[in-house]
Amino acid sequence: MEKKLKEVKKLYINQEIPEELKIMVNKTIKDSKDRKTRSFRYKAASVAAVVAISGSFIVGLNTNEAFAKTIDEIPILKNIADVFTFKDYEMHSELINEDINIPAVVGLGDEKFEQKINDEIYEKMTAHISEAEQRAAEYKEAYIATGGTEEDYRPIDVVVDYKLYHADENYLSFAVYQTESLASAYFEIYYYNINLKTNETMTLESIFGKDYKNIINKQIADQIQERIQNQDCGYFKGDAGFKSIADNQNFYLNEDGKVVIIFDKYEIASGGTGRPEFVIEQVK
Amino acid sequence: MSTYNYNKIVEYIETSQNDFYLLAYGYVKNREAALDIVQDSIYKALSSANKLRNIEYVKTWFYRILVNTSISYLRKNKRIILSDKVPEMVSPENKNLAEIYDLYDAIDKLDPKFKTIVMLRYFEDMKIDEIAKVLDCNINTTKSRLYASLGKLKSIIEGEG
Repeated sequence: MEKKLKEVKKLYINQEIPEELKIMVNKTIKDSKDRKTRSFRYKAASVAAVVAISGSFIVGLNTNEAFAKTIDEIPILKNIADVFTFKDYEMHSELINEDINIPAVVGLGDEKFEQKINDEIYEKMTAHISEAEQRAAEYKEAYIATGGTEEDYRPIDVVVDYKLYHADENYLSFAVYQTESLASAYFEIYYYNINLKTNETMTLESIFGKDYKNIINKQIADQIQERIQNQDCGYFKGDAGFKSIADNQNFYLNEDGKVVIIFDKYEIASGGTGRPEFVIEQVK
Repeated sequence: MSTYNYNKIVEYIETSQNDFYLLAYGYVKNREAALDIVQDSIYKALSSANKLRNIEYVKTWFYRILVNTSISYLRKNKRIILSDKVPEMVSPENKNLAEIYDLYDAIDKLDPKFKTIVMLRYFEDMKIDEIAKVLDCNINTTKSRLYASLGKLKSIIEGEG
């Protein structure tokens, strides 16, 4: 039998390989890279992500004990260079499909500071997730009540993920966000900019000095004018338009380490403009 | 996941893509379906790249995804897959040609569980412990499943006379 199987193998491997296989494979790899911001495209000499928990497994979100337990299982790498780790899991139920990646910072050398950031991210995200679950339950109820059938109901997708904007030995800049398929209105994003030298959260004031609002406002106003001249008409004018950044204005550091100010949708422009971003130059 | 692991997985996929196709084809015997399965497996692998802890296991890890994707494809599309033609034999000097084709067909008739083990062992030349990792079961179970597969093949062939 084994001898014959060797002959059968010849049939098996003699099968023609389609030419498009290679093209398809390359494209799939590329798509997959683009899709996943967590494949680090940055010059991340000092950053490595560590997998928190292996396997896709199911955690009841409402049981905090389960959560606490899984957090304990996160293997923290000894290597000082590893700044990022994340908890990841998937949960699928009749109501909701969850794909959760909650990041955490490690190895900053200041455990209290780390703990503070990680607790904050964790609390915000778990709160959003339970809200999303509640909404899903309500939505399903309404769906059935208005004549929808159990079979037709599609679970709502909830995604928590993060985006790393900048990482080098001095600064770490990332955002954590939550989206769900029910409506884009439930999009939440939080930005974190950390000075790794001082272990402090960076503020616009700490970067641009006391006069930060004036410096930034002027550059944003100029850039809006420029964009309007380039036929980008989405920006509101007059009273509804841009006046000043807020005290706790959202920003991140881009790959070059420059500050990027970001506004929410509808904040200073119509929906079609999306979430406007402005790169701010350091003025000496 | 480190960039290192991710890149190694990509590298592995690029060098082994033909083997993936052949295995997928072995299950579905249909070119488009096999391409679909390979694509799906690559997506799954790369989006869960962070779950591969040790890059040394990339082969058995990827094959597990590939095997599972193939089997669930078969399950979902049971009735609609049309088999392509059996390829021409490479060695026409072989005297037992008919028997070889019979065996090739017999493998196709095996339950996917047994088919997997035969293909991995005899076509992919995997060792028992590697197969055990792919199937996520222990070595003894794998061994007995392999013998059972050979037994089943025999009875399929003999049954047809």
